[in-house]
Amino acid sequence: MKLRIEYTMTAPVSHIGETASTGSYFQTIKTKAGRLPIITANSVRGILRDNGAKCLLDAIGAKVGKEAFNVLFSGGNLNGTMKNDVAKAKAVREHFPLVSLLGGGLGDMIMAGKIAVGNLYPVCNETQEMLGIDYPDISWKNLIDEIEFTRADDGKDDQLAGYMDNPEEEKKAKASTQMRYSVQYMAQGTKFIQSLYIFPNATELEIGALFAAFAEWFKIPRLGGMASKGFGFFDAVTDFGISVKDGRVTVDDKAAELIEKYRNFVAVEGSEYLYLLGGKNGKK
Amino acid sequence: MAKSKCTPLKVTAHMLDGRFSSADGVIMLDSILYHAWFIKHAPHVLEGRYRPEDIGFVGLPLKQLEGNRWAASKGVYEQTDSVIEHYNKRPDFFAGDKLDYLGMDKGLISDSVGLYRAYRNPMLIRTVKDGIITFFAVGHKDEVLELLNLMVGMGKKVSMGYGVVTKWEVEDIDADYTTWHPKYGLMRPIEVEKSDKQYDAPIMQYGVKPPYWKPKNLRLCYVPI
Repeated sequence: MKLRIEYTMTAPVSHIGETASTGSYFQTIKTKAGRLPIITANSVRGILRDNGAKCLLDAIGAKVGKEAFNVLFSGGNLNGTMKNDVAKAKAVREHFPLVSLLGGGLGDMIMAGKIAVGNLYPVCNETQEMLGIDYPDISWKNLIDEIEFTRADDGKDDQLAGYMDNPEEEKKAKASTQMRYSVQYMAQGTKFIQSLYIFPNATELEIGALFAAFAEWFKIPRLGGMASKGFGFFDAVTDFGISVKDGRVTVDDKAAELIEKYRNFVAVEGSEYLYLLGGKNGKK
Repeated sequence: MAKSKCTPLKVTAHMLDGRFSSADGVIMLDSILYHAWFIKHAPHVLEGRYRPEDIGFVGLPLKQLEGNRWAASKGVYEQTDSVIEHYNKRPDFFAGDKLDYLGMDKGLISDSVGLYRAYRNPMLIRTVKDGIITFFAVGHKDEVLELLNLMVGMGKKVSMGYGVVTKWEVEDIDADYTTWHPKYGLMRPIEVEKSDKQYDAPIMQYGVKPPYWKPKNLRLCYVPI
């Protein structure tokens, strides 16, 4: 099953690929259509994982240890000899549709996921053929620019310095907190298109877990960095019935039904099986 | 009904952005079909629910060669770029919107050493001209296409959007190019010991059949790198 999302940035978006001196530059890659700025699939996977984990833990009202936290929010890792533990694989897939869908490292085994997440490609002249779209003729080069930020050293402000107990000492301080730096961003109004591919063996509950993660994410719809400075906010339209506009999330009946099934499942399961994600090799 | 005869085929992968992740650049058609076979016939194996009693015959719709190998070639393409790209993983226990889910009241968690160390993993990413990779095979056209249509992509890290294929095409051709092609040369790893010809290709340990990464399948081969 292929899913498609169209994001429209309601604020400029920053997604850093490289830094040079005081400049941070947007992530770009070379494609068959030439060099393009993108927002990576890896960052969206991280966002979906975080929001899916929140949905799960909110629904059961549980806190977890650092091992299970790492599996749920970061995908876990491997820390010993690998084992093909069929019973554990079955149990984790049965009780944690989110982990089964996104995959992860469960200490002693790798669990393959059932979803491929694509990069976000900007809608522009260069990507029209790749994305199969017909949009106004604009190059991504006209959608990208740099912004400069400053950070003042308020200790050197005579009026504010009066609040310090030793302003003279501060003036001699070797480390400066004063900064001027630049960040490359893509403009407000830029559209991005992303495709997700759900593998044929994904279950209804796993798709429900994904949709629940999207609905949770869209409550605070942001991409990339510097949300604290007003970057990265977006509206989104999807072909699976979940959208967000001006911060209001709408979910159609079909998607809502899948989310509801997933939430009911999680509520019945409770925290009984969280031990599978952590502790001593996932044993009780 | 008798099964139709295997015929020479040309397989074309049309990629979304023309980029895929591969260290040596060799992408084998039989390994793609092998993965697709498991998606269709034994998805529980891909989900880690494999049991020893599941061992059986993997029947790809390709002409079978000696040693349970298959008549399928590597992918040929014109590479326009290759770069090292990284993906990052940084466990963030202390984010404002996550900390409340952590059931610890004290203790230290480091993301610079140990179990939860953040990492930045390099990968070699290749860009292909026009996003087209061509393979050759001898097999059953419709069944090959049916399996290929189950495959979202090829190469490593498809889960992160690398190697995504938007369309597979399979067409009949006149000749079998699964071992040698007049333009592209050697088309698949050939075991040195069993070859009566010498090829102008690097000799190294390499897989002779899928899964190509599996040590059991490694032999000293002429490798079409």
